[in-house]
Amino acid sequence: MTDVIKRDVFENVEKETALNQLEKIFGKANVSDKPHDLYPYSYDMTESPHHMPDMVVIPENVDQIVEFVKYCNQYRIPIVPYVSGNNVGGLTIPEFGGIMCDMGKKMNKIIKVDESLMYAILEPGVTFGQLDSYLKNHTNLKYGLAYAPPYASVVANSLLSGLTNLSCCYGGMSDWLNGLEAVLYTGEVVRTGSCFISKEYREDNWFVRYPIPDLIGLFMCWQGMTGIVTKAAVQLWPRKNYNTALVAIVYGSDACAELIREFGRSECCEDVSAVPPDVVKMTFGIEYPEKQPEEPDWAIIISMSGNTEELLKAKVNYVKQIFEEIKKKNNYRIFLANFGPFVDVLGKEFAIYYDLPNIITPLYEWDGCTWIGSYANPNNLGPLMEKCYNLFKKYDIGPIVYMKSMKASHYAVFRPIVRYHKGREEEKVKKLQHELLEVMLEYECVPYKTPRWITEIIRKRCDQNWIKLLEKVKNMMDPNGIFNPGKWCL
Amino acid sequence: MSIINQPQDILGLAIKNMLEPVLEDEKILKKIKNLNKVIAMDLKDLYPISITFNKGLISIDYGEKPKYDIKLIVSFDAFTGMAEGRGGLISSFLKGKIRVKKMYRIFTILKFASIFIPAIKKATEKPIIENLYNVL
Repeated sequence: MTDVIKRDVFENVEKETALNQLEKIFGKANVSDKPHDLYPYSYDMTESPHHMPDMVVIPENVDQIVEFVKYCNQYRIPIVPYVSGNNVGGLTIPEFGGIMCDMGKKMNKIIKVDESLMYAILEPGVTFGQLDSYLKNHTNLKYGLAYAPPYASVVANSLLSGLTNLSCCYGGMSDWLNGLEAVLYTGEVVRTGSCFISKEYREDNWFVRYPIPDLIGLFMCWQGMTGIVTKAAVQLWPRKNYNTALVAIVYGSDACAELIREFGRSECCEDVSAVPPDVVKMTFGIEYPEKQPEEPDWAIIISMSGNTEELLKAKVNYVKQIFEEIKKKNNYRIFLANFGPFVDVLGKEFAIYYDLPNIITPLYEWDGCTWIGSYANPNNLGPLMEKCYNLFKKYDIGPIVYMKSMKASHYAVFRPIVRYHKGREEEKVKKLQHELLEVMLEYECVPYKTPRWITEIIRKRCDQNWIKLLEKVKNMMDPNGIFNPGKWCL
Repeated sequence: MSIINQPQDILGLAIKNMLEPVLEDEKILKKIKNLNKVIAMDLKDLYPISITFNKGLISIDYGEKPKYDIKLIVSFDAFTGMAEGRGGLISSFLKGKIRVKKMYRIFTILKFASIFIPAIKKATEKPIIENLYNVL
């Protein structure tokens, strides 16, 4: 049941008055305070506490958002930006109430694709599926797929340092932002990146982010607490003619960690991702998989591409050479195979690990799903895997651990994921999550898309000058605390 | 006619996934009904499984049942080769990539091959992921 914590969102203006004003801005059909319209915004699939918003608005252009923000700032009404609510961190749950600004419904246009300079300007509601489909049909470019539902937002994921199946080459999605447009608390519209030059002097151009001061950072990973981002330019990448994928079957966490790291460093792979075979079993419908004594511990999926067959083969040969060297040096029990036939043998359910919908299906089969996503030190993956896997077993919860080499293994992603039945497993899940977090912090992981409970723990360990700076920036960007209040405990 | 258990291991699940589609084929069904045997399959780099045919029912279990009728010892390379269409059961056997224990039960071997070969062929005749090169 959704809780309604006591609060006073409308202490400075009557709710009815606010509703009338918002209807003037957005049109009556695009504003609601009806519980049945608000309920879907009050929760997500995680264990984060539920909370009802007071209203929802559905904008369709920047001018409306400008008027909206000015009004809310005048009366100090909280605004929670929302697209699809798939962040797996409770980030769009309005923990202090307020107004949901749902940009997923009408602000979902691909404004421009510049094929020559390889970028696209997107509204926040543009989804991975939508962008991929557009690029496939109209260009020879691609973006990337995020191991998230195809209806997840590209811009929101970029702002939250998400990752894709090209991140082994190009890093997190934040690195792919050329610029953005945001509405500040004053209602001013600001543009950062190479689009910072006034239109009086130059045609709109969003081709690069630097070398000006990087003000994009004022909105990056702030979980919507510093302004409403209304569009963003994302980098696109050439679609290659020849593609392949391999799968490494691995016994032992140290072997898996070394392979992930070294495959990433080879600079030949678009993606290097690992999961335990338990995930495969869950895909077959086994709810609580038991590892058999001689079964492998991990499977690594490696995807590669090349503009010519020769180039692709050369890359594969180099990766194979790395594999053989590691196998020989350590006497690891590891095997390498083509991924395509592996999928043919296991079934079409496994093709989604390579292409759209590109989701780990077991995650979405139950009503509860939560994770601790983190950027990790690649040298620590071995003990992280071992310890976190054992914690899953301790709590008798099916282990889903997802790892990825990022940006040629400058860093990695380490993400233990818990699917659970809401209402009857939450306490157990919370205990597991706390123990997982302790291990991850011990091994230098930096959590991302942090829910409140993780933020509270991290804040205690932060350098206090960092916290002070965080608070100063927040106060500067949002002096009345209207933007997604409560996140990062601010 | 069905596979009566849900295997709890990856290899067992893969074998089940390959066998299920051919259970719709009347000719193969007839062969399965006539094959009341236990086939041990040792994917020697990984682990063994047992496929039990009993009056038309099939069960697939982790590990090697002690009283098997024949045992196929298959290298990882041979198994993936069959899945990729690089080598069939017979040619892999002739090349020594598959060894058979209790070889004298030649009719059991042939009967099992006549079920397993179409199963592999059916699973791999049309790649699920298009435009993906097998370059290893």
